[in-house]
Amino acid sequence: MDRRGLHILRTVFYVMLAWFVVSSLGRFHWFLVLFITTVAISNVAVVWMLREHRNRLAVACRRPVLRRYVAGVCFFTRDQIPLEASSDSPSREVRLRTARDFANAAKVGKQVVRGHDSVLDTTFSRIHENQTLRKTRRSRGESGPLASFLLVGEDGIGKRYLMRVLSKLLYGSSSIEVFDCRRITMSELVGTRDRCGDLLEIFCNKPHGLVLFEQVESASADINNNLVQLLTSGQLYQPGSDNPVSFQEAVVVLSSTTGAETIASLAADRIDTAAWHQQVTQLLIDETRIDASLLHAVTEICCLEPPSDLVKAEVVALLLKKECKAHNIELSHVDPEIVATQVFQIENGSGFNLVPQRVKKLLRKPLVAAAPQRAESLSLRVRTDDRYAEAETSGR
Amino acid sequence: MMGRLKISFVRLWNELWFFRLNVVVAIVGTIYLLTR
Repeated sequence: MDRRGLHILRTVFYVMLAWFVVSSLGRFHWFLVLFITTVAISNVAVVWMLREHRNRLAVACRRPVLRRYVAGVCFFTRDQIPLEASSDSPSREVRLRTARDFANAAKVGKQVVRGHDSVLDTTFSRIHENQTLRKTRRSRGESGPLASFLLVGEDGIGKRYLMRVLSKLLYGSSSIEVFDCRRITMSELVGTRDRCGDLLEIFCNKPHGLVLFEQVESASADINNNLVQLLTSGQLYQPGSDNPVSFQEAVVVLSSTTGAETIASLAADRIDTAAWHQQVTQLLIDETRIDASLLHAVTEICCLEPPSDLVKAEVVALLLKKECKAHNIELSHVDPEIVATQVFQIENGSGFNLVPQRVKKLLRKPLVAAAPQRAESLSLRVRTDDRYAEAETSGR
Repeated sequence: MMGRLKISFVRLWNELWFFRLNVVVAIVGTIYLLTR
């Protein structure tokens, strides 16, 4: 049977189904038919507006009840909930609005993440700047994502954790979408004609979030083109579809492990921000495989410097505290030798990746020893009778 | 104007089962209510 015949058959089936439903409901009360007809008409209107008058629908979605209803329709049509294009009202899901909010968020972020103070300051101030520019812009149009960053730093330096903290402070959720550019394919990213890609599907359902593309220097040409489109227009299309998925409320982060040393050498004599940015872009174009258009499209390039011994010690101390807190015990004292041993074990290659496991191992015996005493606090001291440094409990 | 409306209606009708179902329910429901 040809396609037209199939359509007619399907329509006849729908009519029969609808007549059966309507007449069955009509037997109970005519009001039920009126209700279902009204719902159907409003569904048609919403679907129509979703495709033809998306901006008007987005304005109507300010009301929570309507928003929930439209979200329900979007679930069936597999569309993205319309994002408001009017410039004066920032999205409700983005928690930070004023300069004070951003300053406070940066302050909180610095307490949680150690050694990346300047990166936190930069990211928050760029997001705030973009938000301010959006307010003054007449129409949002093709304005790109909320902000986009390129993080350059070695492995295990804390890029992913930093982004989780950023997401938590900005959107209230620490879950971020991570894609490894070495493995990702086009069908996973934007999908095919028949199937929607993972990235599009995620942002279709949840347009407010942070997406991290790791190892961006290894991305293929197709992925690069899509990333450039994402960064410049803030929209991506499923192949063969006219409906864009908007990333205008998302933060897009690219990360790279190459080029960190080169930028670090430049960071020492950072005087003028604009000139520095230009120098860094040129260096990355020359020395890495990152696409030049990607480098120009991102809002800011951030260099994550390798942590100093002091920062490493702070991170170890934080992890020790966190692990103890997870067992309802307060860490009252740690001998500096214990922290120093852990710091020396942090290698440049793997960074902080293995530290949480090491800390857990270190605390296993002391926590087990403290358990029967129901100790409230714990102090870790070096045993003087032993040749090697070892942890010891003293539960109070 | 009418041409554009028709094109977008046909596209929605062909693409979305949800649209088809609701259009049919709306029409059948209206006819039922008018003829009862």
